[in-house]
Parts: sequence; C-alpha cells; structure tokens
Amino acid sequence: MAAPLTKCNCVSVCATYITRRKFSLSQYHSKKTTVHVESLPPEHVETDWIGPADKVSNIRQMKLFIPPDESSLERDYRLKREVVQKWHHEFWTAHNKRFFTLKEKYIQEKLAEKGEAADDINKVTPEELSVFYKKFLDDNYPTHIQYNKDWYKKNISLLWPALKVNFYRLFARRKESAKNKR
Amino acid sequence: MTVLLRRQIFMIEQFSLIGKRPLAKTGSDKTRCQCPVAVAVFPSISQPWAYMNYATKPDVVVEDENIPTSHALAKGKDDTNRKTVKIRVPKNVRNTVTDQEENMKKNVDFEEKTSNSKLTEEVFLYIRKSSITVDFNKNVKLTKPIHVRSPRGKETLVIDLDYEEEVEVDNTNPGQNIESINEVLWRDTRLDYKKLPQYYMKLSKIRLTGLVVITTMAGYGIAPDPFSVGTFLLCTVGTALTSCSANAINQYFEVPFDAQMNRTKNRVLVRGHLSPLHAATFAVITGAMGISVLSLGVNSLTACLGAFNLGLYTLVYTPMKRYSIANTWVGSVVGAIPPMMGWTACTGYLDPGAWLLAAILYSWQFPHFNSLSWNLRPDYSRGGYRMASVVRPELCKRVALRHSIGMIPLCTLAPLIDLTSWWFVGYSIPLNVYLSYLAWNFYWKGDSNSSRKLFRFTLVHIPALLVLMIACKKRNNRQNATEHLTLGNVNEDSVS
Repeated sequence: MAAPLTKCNCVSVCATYITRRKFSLSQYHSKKTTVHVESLPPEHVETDWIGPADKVSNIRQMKLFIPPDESSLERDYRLKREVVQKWHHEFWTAHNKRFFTLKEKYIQEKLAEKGEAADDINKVTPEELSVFYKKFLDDNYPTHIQYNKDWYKKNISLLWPALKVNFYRLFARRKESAKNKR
Repeated sequence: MTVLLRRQIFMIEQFSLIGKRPLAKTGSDKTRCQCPVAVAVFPSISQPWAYMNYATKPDVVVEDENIPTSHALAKGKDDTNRKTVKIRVPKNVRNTVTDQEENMKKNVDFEEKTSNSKLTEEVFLYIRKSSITVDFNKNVKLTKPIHVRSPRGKETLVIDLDYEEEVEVDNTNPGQNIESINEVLWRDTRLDYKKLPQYYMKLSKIRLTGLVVITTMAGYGIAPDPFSVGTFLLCTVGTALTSCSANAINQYFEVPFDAQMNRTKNRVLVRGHLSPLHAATFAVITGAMGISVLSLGVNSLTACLGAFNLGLYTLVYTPMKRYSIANTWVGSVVGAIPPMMGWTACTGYLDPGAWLLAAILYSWQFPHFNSLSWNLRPDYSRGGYRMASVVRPELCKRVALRHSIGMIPLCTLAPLIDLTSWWFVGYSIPLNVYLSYLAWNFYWKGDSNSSRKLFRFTLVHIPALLVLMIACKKRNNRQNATEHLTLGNVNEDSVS
C-alpha cells in the first residue's frame, strides 16, 4: 500500500471497457459478447398475440385477448391455454438450465483432465461430448417420460374446449349479441 | 438502490479463484485471490473517465459458505447467492468513499471536502478479463441492493453482491440463435388466409410427402400388371393426402419439442401461424379423404395399408421417439410401406416383388437416417429424443453399415424373382458398393464429415435405384396375356 494515488494523470476514455454484460462468473465463455434483442408485447390486443422464443426455455409467450363479453366457456379455454404455456416454460427452463450447466461442468472437467486452461486450441471433441449427451439422456429419462405423458394429455384435452369456443364464436355469440342489442 | 462509491470505479484486474485455502481458523472456507485493483477517481462530472493503474496489488478475499472449486463457484448454485467480495483499498482512496446506505449514513474517515450528495454519474464494478461488469445503477436487475461497507480500521471495502446466476446457453438453443427479425417480434396470430396454402404445405411437410409419393409411384411402376392411368393418379392422390395427414398429426404432437431444435423451430405450429385445433382438423380431413380415395378409387388392400401406415407413424413412431431407440426400426417400416401401396394399387395383392421392394426401402432407411442423426446429437439429447446415435452410437454405425452392405444381396434377388432383368444387378452394383464404402467410412471414422457424405449419397442412391428398377423391369406374361385377351375380343366383335 505504499504508492500514493495520483489524481487524473492520464485521461483516457474507458467507455470501451464498460460494456453491459450479464453478471456471470463463467470462465469458459469469458470473451463472449451476447447481443440481446428484446421486444415487448403491445399494450392492447384485439386478437391473440404470440411472442419470441424465450432465451432459455425456447417457449413462446402468448398474450391472449380478453373480449369484454367473454363467456365462461372462453374464459376456461383461455386460462387452460395460459396454464399449459406456463407449464411448458417452467419445465424447459429448468431442463435447459440443467443441461447447459451440466454440459459446462463436463467440459471443464474434461479440460482439467487434459491439463491445460480452457482456451480455443484445446477443445473437447464431439466424441467426448457424446458421452455426456448419452448420460444426460439416460439420467433424465423418467422426467422426459412424465413430461411426454402430461403433454399428450394436455394437448388432447385442449382440443374439445377449442372446438366449443370456435363454434360459440361462429354461431352462439352472434345470437347473444343480437339478443343483447334487443 | 444504495450508492456505493462516489465517482469511482474499482477495476479488478483478474478475478480468478485459485483454490480452496483456509485463511483463518473460522468456520467458513475462505478463498484468497490475487486481484490487483485499479482505481479511477473522477473529480468532476464533466470530465471523462480517467483510468490509471494501481501500483500495489491488494488482495481480494472472497468469502462464501461453500466453494468447492472455482468452477463450481461459477456454476454451482442456481438460486440467488450471497457473495462477499472484499476489495482492499488504500487509505487515501478509502477516504473518498461515502457509504450512503439508507439506514446508516456513515462517513468513514472522511476527509474530502466534496459534498456528500448522491451519486449522479454511473458507477460500475468491472472485473476485467472475466467479462463481469456489475452495474450499480438503477437499471440493473439485481434482486437486492448492494451494500458497501468500509469497516473502520480495516483496509477492506466490502461489497456484498446478491445476484442470480445466468445460464450460458449456446447457439443450439433457438431462443439464443436469432436468425431473422421475425423471430424476435410479437405477432398477431390471426389467420392469414392468403398464406393458407403455404401453411398447409409446411404443415404436411410437402417435401417429405413428395418423396413418399414418388416411392409409391415407383412401386406402381415396378409392379408387373398393366398401367392404368386412373388408378395410378388416384393412388398418388390418396397416398399424398394420407401422408399430409400423418405429418400434420406429427407436428401437432411435437410442438414443444420442435421449439427446442434449430432445425424445426420455424414450424407452423411452433410459430403460431395455425392453431393446434386447425392442424388437428386438417389432419383428420386429409386423412379421411386420403383413405376414402384409396378404398373407393383403388382397392381396399391399399387403403388398409395406408391406414395402417398412418396409425403406425402417428401413434407408434411419434411417441416412441422419446421412449426407446427402437423407433428407428418402426420408422423404417413406415418408409417401406408406400411402395407396397403402389404395388397393391397396381396388382391388387402382395407379390414377392412387393416384399422385395419394401425390403429395399426398409434397408435404405438405416444409412439414410443414422447418418442424418449423427450430427443432431446435441439437439436430440437436449430435446429428450432417444436415438441410437446418442444412446448407442456403435450400434447406430454398425446398423447403417450392415444395411448398406445388405443392399447388394437384396438387389441380386430382384432378377431371381422375375422382377427385373440381370442388367439391374449390373447397374446397381456400383451404386451399392459406393454406398457400402461410405458406410464403412462412417463406421470407422464416425465424424460429421463421413456422416454427411453418407447422408447426401443416400438421397441420390434411392431415386437412381428406383429408376433403374423400372428401366430394367421384366415385361412378363401377365401384361402380355391381358393384351391378348383384349385383342381377341375386338376380333370376335368385328367378325360378328
């Protein structure tokens, strides 16, 4: 702590150092810059809107239109859809996080075994990675099976309400609105 | 948001944790790292950032409850972690630090005459060579405020960080791999009627359907009975409709999985161009139309085969992809049935020739699919697809090789059952030998290059083989016999 601090001797623009990177202690991807393009949903929608794929879960968000004269039929269907979408998002977020975290760990282990620091020259070969892929698939087999069963059930159970809502919108709604007008 | 450092940047040159070394006889493990600190001091707002190197190298002590390894620190926990980063600062710099926490307003060894006002410029903590920038400003998405304490008498400035560990995903994740602006924008899901034909073609995987229809037409062409244009067209249309239906159902079931892979992220249902109900309705209608066309316009055997294939693909193959690697074998059967349908459309029953044709298509599926799946291993693994290339890579390569070599005896059988002349064997041997050679390469090298070469050649191999089969087809008695009959009738009529 001997050297005293001199004030403002050199003036250099440090703007280049100040980059808005995500707070991450990853040492493998230390030089990576990621560009994030974000887009927001519109404030008022008149139909259902679908958004971009989430960065981790790859599931697209939906903004569903709530008509002012929404019937209970339509409301049930809308809520069901939102629940299913959220369920997808949560499952895949957790699943993909697990995958990439474990993959990173595996890569670091492999590189440590090779005895050198993580740099571009010394990469993990696809054959070594395939061992990880197999292990991940086998370890997550029960999860995948359960998700599959649940997804098939949810998917098919959404068909009948969708059919009802479509028929309602085509026929019954016009009747209702005509009735209300009278 | 508490203000940390007034007009100062602390630059930590190298934030790398060396290892677990207990520093003191305390309960928690402490890891010491060598982190020289550079400090920039900015006397006024208008001046640009000034940056200078710091002569001495203070220590940065990271204190955490459980730090097994440096790597685990980065990736170990995925909920909010509390980390204490202690940055040792010299006295004269420390003097200018004002701790402005909301509940305690302490000036630590304060000597500066500058005011205690709130920080107006942006302050960052930048940890160089590690690509970490902790942004202390209002926009940062941190869960809790960052507290800075400068305990009296000690030469350490303590910055407590609470953060949520970000997951680094790579470009195999479609959400990260943005290829066009359309993927980022919010979109109205209202149906665009003008684009409906386009959507239907994508929903029915028109290219795959086209190839299936071509194999059916080839099956019709190779069959020995006379060529009837009406039946031929009806068979083609029926098969096309059935195939559209099968592919639509497949896409309907696979929406969340398709979203996970770059190859399939732009599918119609994933993008929301069509609703799931729409796709399911399309599938039901085209399936019903296809099977009806086949049963009314062709014959019931063809319709049965079509219905069986539809069921096999949608109800067995599609779910099985996530249960067991045997799905590849089931899928190969699915690919082998269309030529049989073409054959039965022509002759009305399943000759040995139909079975041989089916066997050739069945064997072809293995070098075709196994080589394709070799390069998709990361996607299959993350998507949860159980494919032989991931689960049993040696079996995958061996099966591809086995069936490539098996094409040679299969093609030799063709003249033996009076399907083609021996010229077919002569012409097909170079194709099959080359296929076997590429499969052999794939078996031994097992890399992306050899797999891609094998895949590309299979796309050339099967059309060539089918064309050769039709060209070398044996004109047999059955065709001649029917011709004689018609001639005879005409003669009798003209006489009487």
